[in-house]
Amino acid sequence: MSRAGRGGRWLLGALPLLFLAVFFAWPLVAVLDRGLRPDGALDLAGALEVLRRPSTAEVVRFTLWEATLSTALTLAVGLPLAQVLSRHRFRGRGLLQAVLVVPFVLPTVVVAAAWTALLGADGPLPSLARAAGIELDLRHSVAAVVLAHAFFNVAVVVRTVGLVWERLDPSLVDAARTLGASRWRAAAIVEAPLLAPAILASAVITFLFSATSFAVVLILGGPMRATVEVEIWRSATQLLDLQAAAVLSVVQLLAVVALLVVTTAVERRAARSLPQLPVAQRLEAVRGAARWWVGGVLVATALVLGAPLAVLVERSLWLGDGVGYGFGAWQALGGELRDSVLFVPPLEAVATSLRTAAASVVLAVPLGVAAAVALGRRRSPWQEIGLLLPLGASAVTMGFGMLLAFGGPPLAIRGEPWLVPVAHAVVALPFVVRVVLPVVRSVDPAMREAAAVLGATPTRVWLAVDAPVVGRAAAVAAGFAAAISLGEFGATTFLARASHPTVPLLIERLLGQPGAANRSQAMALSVLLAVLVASVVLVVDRWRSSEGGW
Amino acid sequence: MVSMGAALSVRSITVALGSSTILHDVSLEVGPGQAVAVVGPSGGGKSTLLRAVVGLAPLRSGAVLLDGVDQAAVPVHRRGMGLVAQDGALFPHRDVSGNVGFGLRLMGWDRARAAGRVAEVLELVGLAGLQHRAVQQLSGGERQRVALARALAPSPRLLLLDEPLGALDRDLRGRLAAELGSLVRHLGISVLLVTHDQEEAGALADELIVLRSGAIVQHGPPPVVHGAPVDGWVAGFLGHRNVVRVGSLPQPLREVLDLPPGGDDLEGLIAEDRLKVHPAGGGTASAPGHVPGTVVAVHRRPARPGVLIDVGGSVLWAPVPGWAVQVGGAVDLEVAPGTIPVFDDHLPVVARRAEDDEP
Repeated sequence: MSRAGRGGRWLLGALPLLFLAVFFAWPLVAVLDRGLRPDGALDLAGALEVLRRPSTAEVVRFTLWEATLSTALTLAVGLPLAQVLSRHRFRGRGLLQAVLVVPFVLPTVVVAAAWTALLGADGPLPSLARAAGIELDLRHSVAAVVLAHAFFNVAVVVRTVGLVWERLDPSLVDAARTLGASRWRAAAIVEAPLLAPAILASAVITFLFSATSFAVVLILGGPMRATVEVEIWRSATQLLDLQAAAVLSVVQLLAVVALLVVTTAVERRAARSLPQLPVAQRLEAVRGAARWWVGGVLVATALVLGAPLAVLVERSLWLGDGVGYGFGAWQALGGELRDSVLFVPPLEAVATSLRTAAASVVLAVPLGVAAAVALGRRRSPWQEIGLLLPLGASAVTMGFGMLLAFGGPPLAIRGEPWLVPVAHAVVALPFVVRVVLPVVRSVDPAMREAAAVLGATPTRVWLAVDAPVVGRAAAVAAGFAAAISLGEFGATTFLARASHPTVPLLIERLLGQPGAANRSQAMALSVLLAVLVASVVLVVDRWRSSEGGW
Repeated sequence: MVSMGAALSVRSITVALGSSTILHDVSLEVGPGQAVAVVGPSGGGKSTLLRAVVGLAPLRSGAVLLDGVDQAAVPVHRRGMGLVAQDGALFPHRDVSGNVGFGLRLMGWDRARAAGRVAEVLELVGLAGLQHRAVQQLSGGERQRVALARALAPSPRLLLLDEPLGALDRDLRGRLAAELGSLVRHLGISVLLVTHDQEEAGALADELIVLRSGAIVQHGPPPVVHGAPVDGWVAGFLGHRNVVRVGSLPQPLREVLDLPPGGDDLEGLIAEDRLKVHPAGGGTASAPGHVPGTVVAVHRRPARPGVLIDVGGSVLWAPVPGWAVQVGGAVDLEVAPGTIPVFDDHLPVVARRAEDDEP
């Protein structure tokens, strides 16, 4: 590459790096500083005191416990579904694959609202139980948290594992069966070991998402349960114990980095021993005993993924015992429901959310594309970890960090409304890079060389060869960035002004209020937000090649 | 370790995938210790036939019997048939001994006993001492030997080979086919082989079955099928190049071949080894069975050498003579007198088969 080309690439990389340094690294450093040097001097004793508290141990224990349970349940639902989708041919298979992505991208607050609707005291499940004489209120329970996490992450398992499974040569299983292994035995001793790296990868992602989940635990876990993430928020905003919040943030960050480093190493070793699998695969028609298996898996999937959303819609139309069904909650979206200062007309929050989403797309997409082009075809494990890190770094920590970092000089911008889209852009940036980078890497160098030989300058080569494909990927990335911004909750709770809440913040507020009217309005807003995000993502997903990832 | 092979009987099986029929009313017998080769073009249902026999493809009708026992209720893993796939289908996460010993461990053999048997079969396929090699490090030929050893280790009484050498290059294929042939004969195992390769079939089989579009069009001992194909398609598929319309043959050739009267519209097969090329003007031109011709092309490829000669109306392949022929040169072509197979390709296949069944 020419010197000019190298310089240009360096500049491309510098911009996103600078952005991340200011709005990601600095806030993290501020958190570190606050945790370890609360009064300007190193205070490890104070930090240790936070770690020794019984409440801290309880929070860590609960976090690991619910994340482990969530991962186990997600695998239990996701693996059979991955098998069915990658091995069997049935009507609606393509549609199901497309729709599966929806739960993963739904805003956390919406998912929490949906499970509240399903499991809450007046929901259909407890009603059924009550009819049978059992008193059942799962609204604030570990079960609710774990179910909601599985709801989110099934798509991660299905996509990550399914991608490998459908390329796994079926003749291996056939061979095992002729050698005396039953269908299940063959799956256990031939398919499972070959799928293990993919299963591990999806399990780690699921575990990370479950362990750092915020809104779901906050809303579904109830006041008595806290993950590290929730405890950070509670310490910072409710208890005003900034040091505890900072120490917990540091602990969580270190744990996430350690987990990513270990699994990346394990995956790389496993990947080396796995040979290239043939791309071709034949899908089996569903017949005989397989009918029960495929049917059962699909029904179970429909229940776990479909029931909460169906009940969410139903609850948005339920106006309370005396009133019955109606469009009241929907009609009230335009006006104030209560006379409190904290409550704004829901449609105003929708406008705020849309403006914020637009601004964060405008920020995240150009920066992400620049980073992807700069990273180009260099591959290193550290880069991959670096790209994953902001996925694992909790949104709450980031919001908290921004609060600390930008509270005073040199950058006193804490109250600026544009800080919210900036925070959303930081969250969305790694996703943008992950969508665009594989596309940049997939461009055949022979095409670039052909263009160069024909006399094109490096810039012309890029415009002629790379730009068309990258443009498409950027449009896809813009969709995902918009979806992320529309649903972002953790960082926003710290940064948004009370008078200008985004839709997720308003939903959470409404869910916290008593009364059927508030409840049904929260459900109506959730449906609205879900439809908005799902349609953005479904349109964008159509655009995606079969590139994989998520 | 000579064992007695089982008798396989396939009775009018039909296999369908959705609405398309892959195999239609196929019947065949493999006697104990016998080797039967099924040949046919790809997509003709050959692999499906093996999958149906082993139980991986469900039958729509018909039955598969092993030593007289209907296998309908026997699941794949209890049938005790060995299967070798085209690409070997070796387990990438196990080494050679892990692959070869796979079936033995499933039979409940302990480690030591399995290791002994693994060494034994590896020796048999010429890979002694390769137990701990990773399968990714094997050459194509070695992979197929390991796949064969894996199938043989549990001592199956029927071995199913699905294009076992199809992925290998021609030279190696010829060598391994001969080895494989002597090995299965030595073991006395029954073999059902499917292949599109004549050489593989020739080296192994006592009986040849030609499968076309899911139906059997001819069967019999290889020399018989080769010498008397039932129709022009089979002749062409078996590698015969001189399938010509009888009416287009020059008079001197027709005189020495016993052709049916009035059969000008029939097609005849003149096997290449009946033809001999002489220099023109050698004084034999007027003898019976001789006809003048012009060399159209000379193919010297080692696999299938031949001279393409225009004899006026027909173009015939003949073996390359021991002297120098030149394209465009005049030659004298001699045909050995006698009967040649003739067939009417306008008759539907089924009708022709019905005729064949008459003694």
